[in-house]
Amino acid sequence: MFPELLKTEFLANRFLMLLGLLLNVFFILLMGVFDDRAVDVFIGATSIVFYIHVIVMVVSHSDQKITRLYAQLPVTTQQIFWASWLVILTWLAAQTLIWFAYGLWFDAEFEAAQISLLLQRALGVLVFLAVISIAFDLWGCRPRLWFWLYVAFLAGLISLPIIFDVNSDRSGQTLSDLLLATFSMSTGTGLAVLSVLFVGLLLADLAVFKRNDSYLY
Amino acid sequence: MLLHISEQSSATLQEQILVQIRARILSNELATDFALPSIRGLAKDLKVSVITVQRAYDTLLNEGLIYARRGKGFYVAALPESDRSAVAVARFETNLQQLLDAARRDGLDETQLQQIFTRALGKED
Amino acid sequence: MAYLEINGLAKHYTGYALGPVNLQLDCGCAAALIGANGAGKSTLFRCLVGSVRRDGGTVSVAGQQTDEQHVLWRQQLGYIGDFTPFFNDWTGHKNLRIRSQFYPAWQSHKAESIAERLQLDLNKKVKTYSTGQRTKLSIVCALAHSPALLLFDEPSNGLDPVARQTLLELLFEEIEAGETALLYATHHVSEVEGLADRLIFLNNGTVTLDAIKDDLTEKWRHLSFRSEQAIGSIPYATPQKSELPYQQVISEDYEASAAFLQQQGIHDIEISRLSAEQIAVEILRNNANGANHVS
Repeated sequence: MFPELLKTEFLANRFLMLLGLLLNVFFILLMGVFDDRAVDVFIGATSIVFYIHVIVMVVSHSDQKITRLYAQLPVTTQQIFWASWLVILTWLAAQTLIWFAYGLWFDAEFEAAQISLLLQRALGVLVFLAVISIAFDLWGCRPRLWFWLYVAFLAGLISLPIIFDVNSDRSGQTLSDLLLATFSMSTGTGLAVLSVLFVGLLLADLAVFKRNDSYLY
Repeated sequence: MLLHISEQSSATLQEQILVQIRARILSNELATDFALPSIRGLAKDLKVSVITVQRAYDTLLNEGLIYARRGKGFYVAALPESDRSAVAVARFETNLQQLLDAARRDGLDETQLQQIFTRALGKED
Repeated sequence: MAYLEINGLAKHYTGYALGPVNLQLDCGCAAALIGANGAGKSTLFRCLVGSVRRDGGTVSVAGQQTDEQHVLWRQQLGYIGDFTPFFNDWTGHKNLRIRSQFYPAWQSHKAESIAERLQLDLNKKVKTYSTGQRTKLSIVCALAHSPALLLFDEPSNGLDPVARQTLLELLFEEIEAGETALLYATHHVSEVEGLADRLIFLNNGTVTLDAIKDDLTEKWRHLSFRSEQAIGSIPYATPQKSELPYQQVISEDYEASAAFLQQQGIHDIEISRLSAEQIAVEILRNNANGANHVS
C-alpha cells in the first residue's frame, strides 16, 4: 500500500509545491531587473517564500500523518511517517535545485564553495523541521510531560547562551553564532555534522511517532 | 406478511409468530409455494431476534407446513386439502380440550357446554 | 468464524479504565453497544481500530491479528468514528477514488449507488458538505468494500430521519448478505431495535450485560396491579411512580415477580411487554444507581 500512499501524499500537496515553483519563477524573472544577479541576492529574495513554505509544510506534515491514520487506511504508522517525510525531502530538493540552476546560469562567480553552502542551508532546514516534527509527535505520547520537557529543553537551548552572554559580558556564543559557526565550517565537516544530526533526529522522530499513545487530535 | 406482536399476550414471541403463520397457512391465506419473508427480514420487521424467528420456522419445518430451498429461503409447503383440515381439526381439538377442562373446573356441566357451543356456532352465521 | 474477537482489551487513563473487555461477534451478527456518556464506547472503538494504543489484550478481525505491523486487516474494516478526515478541496467523487486505491475489494458502482440512496451529491467539494453529508460520505467509505467487520460509533449523529432510515436499510442488506458482523454504538436503542440481535451494555469501562435481545424482551415486563397497601420490595422489580391503590413496577423477571404478587394474594395483574429501548433505559438507570450506591 506504500506506493498508493505516496501517490496520495503528493496529490494532496501538489498545489503547494506548484505555488512554490511559480513563485521561484516569478523571482527569477524579477532578478532580470537588477544589475547584481548573484545567487545570494536571489536566495535572499526567495527566502520569504521559502520560510512561509517551511512553516506550512511542517504543520501540514504533522497533520497529514495523523489524518491518514485517523482515516483508517490500511497503512502502518511507519509507512505514513516515511511518505510524509518524502514529500518534504522532494520539495526541499526541488528548491535547492532551483537555486543551483539559478547560480549556474546567472551567477558568474558561482563556485563549488557556494554549492556546499546551499547544501548546508538545505540540511539546516531539514534539521529544523525534524526538531519541530519531534515536538508535534511528542504531543501524542504519554505522559504529556515528555512534550513539555522537550519544549523546555529547546527553550533552554535558545535562551541559555543569551543569558550567559548578558552575565559574562562577552560577545559571541549565542545559538545564532553557533549556527553561523556550523555554516562557516569547512565544507566537508559542516555537511557531515548536519547530515548526522538530521539522520539522528529523523530516527528519533520515527521512534517517537511509533510510540504515540493516541493518533487523534 | 403482516404479523402482529401483542403487547399484552403472555405467549412468547416465538409462539406468537408460530401461531400466526400456522393459522394463515392452514386457512389457505398463504398459498402453496408462497415465499415467506427471510428470517432476518421478519426479525427486523417485528423487532425480534433472529433466533426467535429461526426457531418458529424450524417448528413449521418440522410440522411439514413449510419447506426450505437452499440459499433461497422458506416456502409454504403443498398440503393436500385433507391434510390441511386434518391438521386444523387436530389443533382445534387440542385447543377445545383445554377450554373444556377449564370450563369443567369452573363447574359447567355438559348441557350448559352444549348450549354455549350451539349458541356460539349460531352467531357465526 | 468469529469476525471480531476481543480478548482482555484494556486501556488505562488517570481516573478511568476500560476493560478488560472480552467480546466475540460471529459472521452475520449485529450487536448494539449501549452505554451512558463516558461509559467507554468510543474509547473501545478507538482501541479496536488502533487510533488509540491499547494497554493490553488482543483483537482479531476475520481471523487476522490486529497489530501495528499488520495492517491489511483494515481492508476488512468499515469504521465510522466521530470524525472522518477527507480531502476538503476535492469532490466527494475524488475522495472516493483516492480511497478506493487502498481497497482491492472496492466496488465503485456500489459506492455510487449508496451515495445515490443517501442523496449525497458526489460532484461537490467536501468542504461545502454539512456534518450530515460528511457522515454520508463516511458511510459510503465504510461499506463500498463490503468489509467483514463494521464498527459504527453513533453513525446517525447529524443525519436526517430519511438518511438514518436508509443507513439502517443499508446495514440490514450488508448483514443479510451474511458476510459481515456489525457493532453499532448508539444512545437510541429504538433505532437499532429491528437490526440488532444482541445488546451489549458497557458501564464504567466494563461489559455488564451481553444478551440476545429477545432473552431480555421475554423476561422484562411492566406489571400493574391493585393493592390497598403498598407492596415493598418485590423480587426482580423496580417500583415505578404509582398512586395507591394502583401500583406499577418494571420487572426483569416478570414470572418471578408475578408469582410473588400472587402469593401476596394479588391476582389481577396486568402484564405488558417493554420495548428494547425501555429495557435499555431501565438497565442504564440501574447501572447508574448501582454506581451511586458504591460511592
